[in-house]
Amino acid sequence: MTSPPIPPLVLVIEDDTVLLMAMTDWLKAEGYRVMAAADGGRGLDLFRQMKADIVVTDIIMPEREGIETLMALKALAPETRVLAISGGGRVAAGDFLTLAKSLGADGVLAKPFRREAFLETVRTVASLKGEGTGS
Amino acid sequence: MTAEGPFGARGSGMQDTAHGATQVRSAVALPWHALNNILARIIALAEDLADHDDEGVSGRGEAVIEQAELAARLLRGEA
Repeated sequence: MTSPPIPPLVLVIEDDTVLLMAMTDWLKAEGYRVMAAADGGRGLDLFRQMKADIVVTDIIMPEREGIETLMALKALAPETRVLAISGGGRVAAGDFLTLAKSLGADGVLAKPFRREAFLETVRTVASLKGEGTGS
Repeated sequence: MTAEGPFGARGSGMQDTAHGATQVRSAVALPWHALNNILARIIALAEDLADHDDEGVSGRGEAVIEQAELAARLLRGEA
């Protein structure tokens, strides 16, 4: 008898409290294990303590920029899947998300987004690695 | 609204380095970021209403989401 697969661990880094809570709730309801951080510095601290399978990170945040966080995460654990989200606007968001992609983000999503669009993007990013690795 | 949006022209050298991206954010991206975060909050909160069993409440939630999405398209110059 095999034990059920361990759901992927997702680290969500977002400085907006309402959005952070919404995304963590949505992910938990889908069965993911979730950690949350309000900025990139705290997110990296959490990641060093418990390596997440997937990291969802805002790109524009105080304390530590999402781009810097993305680069640090990929340097620490290149296999970790990263979804970059940004609300920088039509021109700026596109450029920031393009930059994030060029720096190793496995998926990008512009704000604002609906729950299903967010979860679908997380599923796509997770499938790049294969869910249930339990690392 | 200009092609760059209501908050001014885009910065130069944005794609060059992450450092450049950091520098340009305060000039261009933060107002956009704040507005899109507000719209994202509205949508996230309205998703709970849209999930409601009561069709009237659910419909109002969907209507709020629709309006927030319309505002987002306007911000992007798509509506």
